[in-house]
Amino acid sequence: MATLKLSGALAAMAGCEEIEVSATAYRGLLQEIDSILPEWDRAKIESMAFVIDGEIVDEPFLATFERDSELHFIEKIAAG
Amino acid sequence: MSEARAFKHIGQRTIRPDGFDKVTGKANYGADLALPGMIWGAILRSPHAHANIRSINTERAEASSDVLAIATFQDFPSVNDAASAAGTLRKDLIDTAQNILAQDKVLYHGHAVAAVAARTEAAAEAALALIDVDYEVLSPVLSIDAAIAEDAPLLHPQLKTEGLVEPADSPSNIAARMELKKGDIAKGFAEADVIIERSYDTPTVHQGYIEPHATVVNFDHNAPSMIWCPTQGHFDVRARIAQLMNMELGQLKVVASEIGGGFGGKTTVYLEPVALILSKKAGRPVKMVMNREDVFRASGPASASQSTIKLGAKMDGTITAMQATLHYEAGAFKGSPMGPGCMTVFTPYDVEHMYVEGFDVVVNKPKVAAYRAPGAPQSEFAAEMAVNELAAKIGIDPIDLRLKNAAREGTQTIYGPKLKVVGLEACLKAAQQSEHYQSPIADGVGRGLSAGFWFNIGGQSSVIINLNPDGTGSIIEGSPDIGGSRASMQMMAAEVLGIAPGKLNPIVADTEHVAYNQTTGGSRTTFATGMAVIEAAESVVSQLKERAAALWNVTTEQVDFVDGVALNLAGEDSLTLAQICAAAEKTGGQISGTANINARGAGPSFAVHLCDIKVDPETGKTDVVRYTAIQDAGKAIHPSYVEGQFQGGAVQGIGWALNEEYVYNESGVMENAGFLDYRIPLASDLPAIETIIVEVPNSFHPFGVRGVGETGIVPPLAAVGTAVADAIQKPVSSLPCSPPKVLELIMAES
Amino acid sequence: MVALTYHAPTTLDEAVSLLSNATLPAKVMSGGTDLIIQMQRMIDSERLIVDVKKIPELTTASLSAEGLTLGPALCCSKFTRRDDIKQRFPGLVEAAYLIGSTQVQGRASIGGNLCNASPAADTIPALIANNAICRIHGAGGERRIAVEKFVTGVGQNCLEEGELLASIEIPAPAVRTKDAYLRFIPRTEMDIAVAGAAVSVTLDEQGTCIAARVAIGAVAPTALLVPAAAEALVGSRLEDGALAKASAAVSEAASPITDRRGTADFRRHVVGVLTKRAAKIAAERAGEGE
Repeated sequence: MATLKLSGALAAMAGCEEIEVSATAYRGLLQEIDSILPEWDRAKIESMAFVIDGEIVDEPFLATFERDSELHFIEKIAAG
Repeated sequence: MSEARAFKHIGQRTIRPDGFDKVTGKANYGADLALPGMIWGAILRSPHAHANIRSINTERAEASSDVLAIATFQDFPSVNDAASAAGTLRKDLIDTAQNILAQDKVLYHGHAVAAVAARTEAAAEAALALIDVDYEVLSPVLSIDAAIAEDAPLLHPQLKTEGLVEPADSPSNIAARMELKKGDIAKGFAEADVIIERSYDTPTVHQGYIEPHATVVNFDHNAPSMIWCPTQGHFDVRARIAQLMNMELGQLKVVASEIGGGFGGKTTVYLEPVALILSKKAGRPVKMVMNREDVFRASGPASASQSTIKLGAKMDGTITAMQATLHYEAGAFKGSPMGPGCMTVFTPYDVEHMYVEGFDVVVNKPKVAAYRAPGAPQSEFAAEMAVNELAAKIGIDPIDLRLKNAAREGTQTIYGPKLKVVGLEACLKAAQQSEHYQSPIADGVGRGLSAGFWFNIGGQSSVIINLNPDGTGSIIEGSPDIGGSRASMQMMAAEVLGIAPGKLNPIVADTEHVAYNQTTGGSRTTFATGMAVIEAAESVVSQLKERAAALWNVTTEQVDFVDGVALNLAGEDSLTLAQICAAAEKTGGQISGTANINARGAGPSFAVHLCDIKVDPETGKTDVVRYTAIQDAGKAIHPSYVEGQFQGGAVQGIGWALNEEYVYNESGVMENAGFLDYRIPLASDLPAIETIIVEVPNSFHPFGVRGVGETGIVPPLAAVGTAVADAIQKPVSSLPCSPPKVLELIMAES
Repeated sequence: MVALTYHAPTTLDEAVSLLSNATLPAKVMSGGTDLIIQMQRMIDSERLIVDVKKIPELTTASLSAEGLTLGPALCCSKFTRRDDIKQRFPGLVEAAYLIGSTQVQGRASIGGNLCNASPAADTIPALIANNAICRIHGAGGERRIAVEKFVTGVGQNCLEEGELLASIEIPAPAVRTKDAYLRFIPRTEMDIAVAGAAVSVTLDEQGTCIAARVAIGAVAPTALLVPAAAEALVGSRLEDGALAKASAAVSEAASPITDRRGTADFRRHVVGVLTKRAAKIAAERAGEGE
């Protein structure tokens, strides 16, 4: 099972700091969380970058990951 | 890309292809274009820092024969009253539109209220007096403290704080709150032998690009309307105008002129949508140019900040806890770089327990824009100052303290991911071993150092490489060149193709002539567009092999391609790239490679800066006597431009730390809106900035590249602040370290 | 926007006649480095510009046994290259060398700097410290006035309508007399004085100060001559105590403001530091002899 790490407002909403997920792709992950946390702000999450084992993916729509991956949602980095 | 690779062109110091035109004045910048029939636009700006607009009356202007067009907020069809009535209001665009032309409130002195177009620049300026605006003047909110005070006047009566644990029920000038946690901060402080807590502040500063914003727009009903402007991202200009004006992307063509500096400040639009409105109404091309005062008063500065840092450590130098509370001024509209500020503040440290809370605060100053590693200089200044003080308190060398706690491969960052291979330890060791750090410190001189971190980004880039029949060619890219990237693109393509870089002409094409490219920013261009160049060049190489195979009547597998020459492995033949190109007509047509990528795997760049400053004890005047910038480039494609980025970042950071600041009067009018009194460092103010390029390759890039453009502005603030503190033997907590402030510290009772 | 009538007379009388008979608001232009900027903000629809750079005597400097006669329109870059003048009045030459930038000095003049009467003008304290006299030419003849009385307020001087600054005259200094000018800016160049101090010192053969003039700039509406500071120096060998007294005297005389360039407290303090340092430099120069 991959591990989705939560922080900040997301962790506060979920009431925990990590969730085990069976998905191995970003799209599947979103669906899975829809069912676990129906009240989460999916549109906001979809505007964020996705992190797979330390690699930041700005456009994760097609991203896949491993069964033991560590996953995060982070704010997209502004350009300077 | 772990094995060391021998390069032929990468790492050389070639002459930049854009250099000649720039030094001879032939290069065309934003204000250099003139079109037949062109007229001029001018902007009426608010004389108040905070006021309600009761009415804007354009009747007198409309009646004037000089005036050919007028623009106000109501000319944005995506957000105007008509859109609101029709239910098509684009709420996400309101802030952008209101910043470009105020709707019912002006939120900073210099805020654009209306625009006119006339036949000459002078006539347009004069016609502004014919627009009557009735203001109800409100009290300006000019600092974080004033903005978050209980009874503070509200900039936006509807604005509620996002990100609170309990949703906000009343409006506030705090637009957003962010919280990041790692471990158990209370436990971390409980484990500490030493705890320090300090507060710091930094001023509003401007990016200080030498070229003011300028544009020429030609609206066209039958073809794409042309927008010419200096920008870091012409595709983004196109997108914003399309959204604001309810136009299709295909109705717009944006041409990026040469650009005289951006540093993040040219990643947004100010004049372009207004000029488009005026051009559409007048049926003529419209030119608009800001003067320096406009640039200071109404284009994005960087956030002022207030930070509180609390650190806990054991006497052996193990940092056990790091905590920060960070406030950033957003200017008139929400959206300071508070987020990246929170994410970067402690990233140079591998510490178990961390807690960071950030606030985005609106004030009556221009809306901030990105500035080189947006958000990081402010927060890392505070953290690094505190870390230096911690080192002094426990009696450990500040580099040793950092090495003991340095972020490395596998370090869990507070914002989520674990770091991949990074070069912080390599930079710290290079700093420690440097002649500068080993040298004795002269009397009256203080020494400071600081680490710095910036993420860097990847993203979308598109490149076309076309080869000509004689073996020359062009690299068509869409990343505006703000730091010598055309030279780097040439070199990377030349490396893959095995030809001299000068054989390839790099072109930054307009939005019609190359596919989408993300804005030049986030230190992404040499990394991501470079990756696209390499991929396009590799595509060209495989075509060259196919063509050579066809000429020799062998299979492609029987052809090797080395240093610009195809080798027939089935025989003795060889063909140069130029020879294959010359025969392209009979082997299937001209050779061209394209790449459209969304680059992942941007590698963070860490830096360490060393600074020696002499302080005049009687006047508080500072003199930077020696400065060294050490930074991880992954792989330096063009070492001179990498060094230039290190030096440029250092100089801008030194300016931020020493003398740059917006000086406001109590009415919220900036009093130093010009380079005479907004004191950026002069060449004569600084020594040659020494550089040490560290190369810890980024495994995600074919050549190991990490972006280098932004990190260099992060460490100077604390390096300078600590050097000043060391020189005067008094703690420094407030930037800039301008002479009056330093003298006050010197004269204060110990 | 301004509509201009431009004249470039070649004699002083012609210039005075143009000014006296002017029907439009008239401005005398030397290098124009201040005036042209100011004209961008002028609201008058019409202006008469009398450019005095074509009048030979206004753009020459002659040094004799009597002293220096300086054409007010001589550009700073020519003035600062005059080693003979620098030998006598090193502080004045240094002040001229600080105006604007290298490019600006190709046009800017000491007379312009004086007539423009900015509180922060670099050459005015140096002129005052050197006892400079303004020779003013008008339709009714000539009059002379000390530089410290020439400037009457911020941007204001004592020239009447139709009058022109004809020359700046500095009497030959006594033996073992030298000057120095220092200003404070946070950077190294291209800036405007936050405070400035000029000191002229005359020493006797033993190195005791027998005469001094101290003038300060950017700390009051006009540059000020500070006799109390000079008195603190006279009779001393510029020991720390005397310098501290001079320093205190200028800080006392100063009435600075707080603005974007510095705070009042800072200016008051720093003008004292500059005075002390300038006095030391002037004394060292005076001790070195001719």
